[in-house]
Amino acid sequence: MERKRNKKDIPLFPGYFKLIGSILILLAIVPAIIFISILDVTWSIPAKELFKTYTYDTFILGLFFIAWSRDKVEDELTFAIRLKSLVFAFFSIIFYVILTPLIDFLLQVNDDLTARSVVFIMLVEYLGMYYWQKRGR
Amino acid sequence: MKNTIKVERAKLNLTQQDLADKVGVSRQTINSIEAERYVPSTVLAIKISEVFKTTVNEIFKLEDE
Repeated sequence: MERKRNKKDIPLFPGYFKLIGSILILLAIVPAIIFISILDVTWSIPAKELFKTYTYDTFILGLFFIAWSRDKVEDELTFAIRLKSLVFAFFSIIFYVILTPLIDFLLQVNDDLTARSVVFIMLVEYLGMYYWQKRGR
Repeated sequence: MKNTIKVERAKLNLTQQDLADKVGVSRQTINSIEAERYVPSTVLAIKISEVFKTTVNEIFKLEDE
């Protein structure tokens, strides 16, 4: 059910962006599975970086579209849930950014924390929290 | 915050969906308010009280009152 939108509402993409987001995620995952797992293609370094960029960015864009599109039901409760989920994602990413170098140091691994991984984790946490809170209401 | 929405609904023989339609929110929102998992905005509280033709204070009460 759609309620009347007012100026204070957060701007969201239309509902069909969930479908576009899902398609983008498929477009990111399917080529990765085909080229890496099935065909086992050997890449030159620039091609590998380009493919990695394509896969990550398409996946992140897909998650963003899903996360930021309108649900069938958008009212003040979903607004509150979205806000809680954003707060959760924001706080947890701070701990993640602080703790990752420490864990890497303790485990003697060098796993670079990139902007992509931060955005990816925030989106996954936001979506997870959002749907977990909506469940059973 | 406690509320008497369930009782008021029963008096008027309204379902959660009926009330949700009247105030322009989802059934899940009404369910969450009744279960005291969610505190409605002032605007929604007023709309709900208007449906039951009473005041907000009659429907919503603070826990320590």
